[in-house]
Amino acid sequence: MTKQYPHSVHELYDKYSGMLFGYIYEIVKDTRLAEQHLISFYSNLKEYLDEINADGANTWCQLQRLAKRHLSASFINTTAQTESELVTNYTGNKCLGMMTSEQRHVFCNIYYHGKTVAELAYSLNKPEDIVRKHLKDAFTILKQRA
Amino acid sequence: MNIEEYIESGILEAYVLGVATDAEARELLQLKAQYPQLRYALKELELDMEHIAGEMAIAPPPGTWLKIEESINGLIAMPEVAPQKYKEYNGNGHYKAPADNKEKYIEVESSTDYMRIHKQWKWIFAGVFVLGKIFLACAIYFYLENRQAQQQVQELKSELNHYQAKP
Repeated sequence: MTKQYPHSVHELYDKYSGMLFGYIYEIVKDTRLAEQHLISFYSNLKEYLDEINADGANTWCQLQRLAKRHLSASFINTTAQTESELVTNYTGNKCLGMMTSEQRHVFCNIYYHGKTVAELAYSLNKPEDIVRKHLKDAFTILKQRA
Repeated sequence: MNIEEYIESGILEAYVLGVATDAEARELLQLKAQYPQLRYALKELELDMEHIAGEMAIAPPPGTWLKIEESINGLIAMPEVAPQKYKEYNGNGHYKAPADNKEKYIEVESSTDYMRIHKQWKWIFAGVFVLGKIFLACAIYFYLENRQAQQQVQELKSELNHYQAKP
């Protein structure tokens, strides 16, 4: 497996494993389980190296999308979370604490649980434009904080 | 189209997170080719996302890479399964065995001297060991008790004999 790309998987691990582990941990909320998913994700990464190394593609964004797909395929709970669940699950994250409840709801359900704008618009009973605006504002807060 | 409004609408964020609809993604890619500021905004957003993820990063437990390497090497070392040989149908509901009939049986006897057992046996063995120790301790205790009692009986007997011997 590593013959064809002797360094790529390791390089991707060195650079992005912490970010991916943090991302997966926020979804599964269990260190051991997150580690298992990280191992399984990197073990099968070779298949997607062409996709990741494609011209113009941001590596982190590609990895995050693949991780989301990997977790969905592993039957990780991807159902939309309610506000109370979000408050319970993401209280440790200072960045999320700076958002309004709607911004947090939209951001977490899209970022961590892969919900679409249409799905959230339906569940919140709001137009899709408003949901996208919440997402944009959530990113602005995170950007300022970062 | 007002491209600034488009950038501010949140479509870029949805696209980067992979939740934009096909129509939205198509439109964005078309506009990206037309408007350099959109291209720039998209690039910047991707970098922002990377930066944000970096802020939320958690170091994986030590030894994780070794486990990944082991898993990858395991995948490499796995031998390819040979395809099943073609068997000719003889018309009587049976298939003719191939001419090369050497590997007719599958070897089921393991060549290794070790055996693998379920992890639960660890507790059963531990329980048996502890019970063994308890029985051993009880046996020693009762043996000593019995010896002491016999000594006392002997002493009492000798005392009794001594008194009986006296007039």
